[in-house]
Amino acid sequence: MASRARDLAAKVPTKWILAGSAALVLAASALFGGLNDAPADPIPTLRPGDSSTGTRVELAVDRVVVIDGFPDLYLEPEPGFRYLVVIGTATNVWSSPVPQSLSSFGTPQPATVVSPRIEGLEAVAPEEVLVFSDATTAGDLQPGVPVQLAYLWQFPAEAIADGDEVTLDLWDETYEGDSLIGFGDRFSDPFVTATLTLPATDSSVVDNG
Amino acid sequence: MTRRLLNGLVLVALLVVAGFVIHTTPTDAQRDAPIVVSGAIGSPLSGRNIAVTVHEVHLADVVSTASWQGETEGVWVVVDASAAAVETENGALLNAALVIGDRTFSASGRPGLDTIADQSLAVGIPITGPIMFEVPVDAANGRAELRFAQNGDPRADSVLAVAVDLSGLELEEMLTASEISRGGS
Repeated sequence: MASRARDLAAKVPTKWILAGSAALVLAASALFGGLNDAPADPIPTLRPGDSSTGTRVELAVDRVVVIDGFPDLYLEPEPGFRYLVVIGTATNVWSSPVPQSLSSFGTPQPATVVSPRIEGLEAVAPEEVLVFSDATTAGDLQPGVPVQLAYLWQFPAEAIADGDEVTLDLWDETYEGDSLIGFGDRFSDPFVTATLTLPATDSSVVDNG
Repeated sequence: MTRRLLNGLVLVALLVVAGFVIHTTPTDAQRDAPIVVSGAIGSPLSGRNIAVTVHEVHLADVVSTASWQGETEGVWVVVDASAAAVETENGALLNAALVIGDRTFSASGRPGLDTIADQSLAVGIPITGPIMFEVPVDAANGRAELRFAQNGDPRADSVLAVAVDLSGLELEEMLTASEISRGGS
């Protein structure tokens, strides 16, 4: 009996034994839920006033405003569009300056700090980022210096009315280490780290910020 | 026998040479390191295509210029400096930074054209004016270093470094920054 089993084992190709045992292990793990979908980490929902801390930027959103434009700043949306303005305080928690206004060269940049969820609008970086106090374009966020900023997107005018809830995605990014080709720190793979829902306030045209 | 001894000696010699090469080869960081020219406030510094003299350093809560007034949650470090190109005119003061401890601050773009940061440089005709840095209140004391370079990428190019001591400076409530001038010193 034992010798017959040994003969049989000698005839079975090694590949079959390996594949068979792998299948057995998988089947055994399936009994304990091994083939179920991995549970997705729920994205935390922030309450108004909470701040979201990313790798480089901490952002506390104050309010969301919809507005026709900022004629004094030469910021006028396309016909049929209005501006959605997210006003919040951003702090650079990194050790070197973090650029806020991305030069887009006409191509929408992926959002890396905040983006609104609006139907028909991709999660893109804001068209403009302004320093609230003096309405200048926000260049670099300096380490440890909080700045109140206004992030601007254009949206189809009828998409949001006064009092409508707007959900914001707050983004973080992955630190990749030193750049291989260029120099300095490299960040990539932005991902949503939290969401926040606030009512939009409709504001008539104001002259500044 | 002699031949084996000779082989052994050659092997040891090669290992010694290889070890020397390994331990003296510059790292990527060393190879790309900027060429730093250090100096003090008031002394003219000169590099490959940039010459800078830092005249004064001020601390202020609010800075104003002809067309801009800037507030900050931190403190403004306002540096009065002259900058010029040395060889060619196709450069600008694109890289003015203030290093405090392990943190680096870049020149603020908020003053627009009222700062000499990002302005193009001319050979032999210095542009003189303010450069504004926004730093946190707790960073505005102690030793700091100003760094000036032509490009955002400072690798293997001149960086002019000026040591400043922020602790001895008086914090001004409202500072009217100097106006930009070209020529002179």
